[in-house]
Amino acid sequence: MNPPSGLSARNLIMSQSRLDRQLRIEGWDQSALENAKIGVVGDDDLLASLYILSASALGMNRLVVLAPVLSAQLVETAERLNPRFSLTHVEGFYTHPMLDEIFDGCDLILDLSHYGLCNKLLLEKGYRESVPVIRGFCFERNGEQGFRVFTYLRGREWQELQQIVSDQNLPDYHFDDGVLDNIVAGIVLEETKTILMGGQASDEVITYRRKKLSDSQGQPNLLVIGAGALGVFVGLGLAYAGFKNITFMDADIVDVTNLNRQVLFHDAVGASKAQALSNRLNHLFDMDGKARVEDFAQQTEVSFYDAIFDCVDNFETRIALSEKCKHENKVLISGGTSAEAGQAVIFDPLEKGPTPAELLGLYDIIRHRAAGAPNRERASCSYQPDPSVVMTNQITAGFMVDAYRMLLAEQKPNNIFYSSRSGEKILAEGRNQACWTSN
Amino acid sequence: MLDVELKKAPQVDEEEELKPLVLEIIPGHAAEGLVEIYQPGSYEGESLRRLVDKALTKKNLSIEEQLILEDISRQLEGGKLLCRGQEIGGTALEFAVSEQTEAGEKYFYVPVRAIRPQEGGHVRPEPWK
Repeated sequence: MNPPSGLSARNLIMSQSRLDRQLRIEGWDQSALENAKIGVVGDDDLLASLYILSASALGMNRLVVLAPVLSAQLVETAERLNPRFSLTHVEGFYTHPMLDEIFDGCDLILDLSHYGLCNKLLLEKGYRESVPVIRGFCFERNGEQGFRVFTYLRGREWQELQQIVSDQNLPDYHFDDGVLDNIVAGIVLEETKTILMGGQASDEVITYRRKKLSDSQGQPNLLVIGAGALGVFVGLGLAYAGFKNITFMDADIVDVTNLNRQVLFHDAVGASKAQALSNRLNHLFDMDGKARVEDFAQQTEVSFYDAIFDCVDNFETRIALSEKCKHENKVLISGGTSAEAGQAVIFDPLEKGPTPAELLGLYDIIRHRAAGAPNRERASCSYQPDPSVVMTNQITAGFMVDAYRMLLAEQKPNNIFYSSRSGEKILAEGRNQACWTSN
Repeated sequence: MLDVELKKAPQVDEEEELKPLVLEIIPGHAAEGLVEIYQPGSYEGESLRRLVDKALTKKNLSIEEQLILEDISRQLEGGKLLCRGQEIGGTALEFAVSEQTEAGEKYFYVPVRAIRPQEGGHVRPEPWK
């Protein structure tokens, strides 16, 4: 591959290293992402900005955004994360068809707005020019909050379109939520990637909803164990949700290969992940975050914390965390991701249910792994990192934070199993009968 | 999946009514799974685990069913069977929801999913391939 003009050989090597974890995915077509031009319409500073940040991390280079305002901090982070990232920001609303020349040459358009006029204009443009339009938005209606995502391709003039056109025609006040926005940004980016790489876009309206949350959540002391990709997005989600007292625990340091998904570490390669994450969030959100530069172990003191977020990257530590929280009666929100799936599993000691390790059968997995170890040890070994991308971490982390908010609001959150490959992307699996009969 | 469209019905006071039990074992996030129907009298005292084991060891499967079974087996390599996010202990009726077909035929429905948990981006030694 020839380096593009203006890009030094060193930058190119850095870029390849930065994207290493996703380049390992079978069938991955990075050039399809790098060469694409994406149009984005937003009407608040958050959802579009979160998408911009993740798209930059994924190695997408050309975005044209029409929105009244963007988050300066998230945009700056996106630009520093990816040296080739180019953003054209047009300030305003999409209220007239004449504006559609802004999006000339775009491979697809994202509609992240909340006003019907824009929704209809973009669907019409998508129909007329055969440009895919990915629609994602949060909503609040009839005492419920949630989000919807739908990918419109020409030929999909289906009744489902009614569900994705906003009731109000012109820009006005609308419900927005940083936690749900993170999930929407992740799912919309997954759809973007799928279409650009020639895959099959989701053909259903992806919907998530729950009862409206109460306003008062207090300021609990939270411990996030693991400050990698999942930890970064859990931290970001907790910060957007208004939590201030967060401690991040991780003994690891930032590596350049983390930067395709650990979106807040662009200037922290070589630094402690826990320290870098708490510093960055303290700066962005005026928080009182702290860092513990250590690995979690059975003897780790956790009595100070009201809830623990499991963002670790291995089943052994996940088991230890489950046992610790069961023993100390701590709320545990456990997450796990791969390049194409993720789960958020909740342990509430008041319910006396199984821990995440028990529910997911992690003991058996570890036992079988140990039984297979002698064979592996006989073979020549190399260190093979698992492929990872930003989307599954962003989505799973969002569900983890939302589950915790639901617990605080005395709702019963479901365990969530997400898969980017299936038709049914989000499985909300109830943890008790009351939950699944009421859905 | 049944060849008629299943339609969820509100739960009513019909616990004592004799109804067939439809057990569906679904691989991961798939929309359709392996369906086994148990007639009244054949499942009431049985544990859900035992009914699932019976369904998974059933012979004379169609080609479509065999493909679903292979998918389930793949998920179970490092995965687990869950029913509505719970372990499948207890009887099938404890997990059953009353539903009816469009034709009005009532039945109990129990979906069991083979779910493989995700671990994370851990760097671990693997043999050369």
